[in-house]
Amino acid sequence: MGEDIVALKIKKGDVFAIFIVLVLAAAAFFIPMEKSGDKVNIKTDKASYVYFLNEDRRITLEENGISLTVVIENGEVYVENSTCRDGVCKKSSPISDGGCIVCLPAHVVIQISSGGADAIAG
Amino acid sequence: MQLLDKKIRSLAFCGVFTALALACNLLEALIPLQVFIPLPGIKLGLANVVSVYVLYYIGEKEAFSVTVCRCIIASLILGSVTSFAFSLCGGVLSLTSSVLLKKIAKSRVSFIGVCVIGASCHNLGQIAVCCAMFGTLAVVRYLPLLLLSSVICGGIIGGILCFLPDITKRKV
Repeated sequence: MGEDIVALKIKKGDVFAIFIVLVLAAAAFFIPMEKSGDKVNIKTDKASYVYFLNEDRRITLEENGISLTVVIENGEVYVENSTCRDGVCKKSSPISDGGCIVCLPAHVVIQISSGGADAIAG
Repeated sequence: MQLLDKKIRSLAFCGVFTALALACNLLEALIPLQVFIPLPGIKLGLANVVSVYVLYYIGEKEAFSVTVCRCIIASLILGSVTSFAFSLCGGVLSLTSSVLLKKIAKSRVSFIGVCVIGASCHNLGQIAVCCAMFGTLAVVRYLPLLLLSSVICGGIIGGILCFLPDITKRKV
């Protein structure tokens, strides 16, 4: 059973599989996403906060035992500090147009949106 | 007697492979792949080598039990409840796709195809969990890059698998 596959042989099915995944990737690239906005949306387990992107500020969150410092500066948002274990949010590059930063352990999602004025919380 | 012998053998192999998969998981956590590719959650998927190996050389049930055990123990060591949900969903979905591929097109697809599809399913599963958990579609933005990375990582993992000999049938 093993002998016929112990060799680097690329079969037709492999090419087909790779092709399908690449097509999917290309298709996903064109999924219409919300265009860049001027507001920063921070979603936590408890609530959702909206801030203006052009107003510099520093937000400290306490979520699920993790302390997060989110900084809005010069039209960019980034996580300055987090006490979570993996620190993926700290390593994420600053977002300014439509991207998002996720901190899994703290259940926090930071994204740019163009939500209406009534959504402004603080 | 023969049957019992086979059962004991398979149980012993499951234990060894679970340990090996865990070692792969921990090793992976040491490799800072994110330094080179600034994408959250990106990883090579070394533990999938073990899952697919067990699937092909031992059996489906064993592959599932090894994968589930690996996810549980790895989360106990490395992560949290959240990361457990992510890793279990990704791992099981990826393995399911490999099982289906093995059943449908074993002669036409080699390890490379199986691993590329497995890696993509892993990523799709994680994005789905993320969407469900946070109730936002924003993470879908990562999908193209994650799928592209799954072609590369899956290809590497499949390549490794092609060179691994079948040790499970050897006489002790």
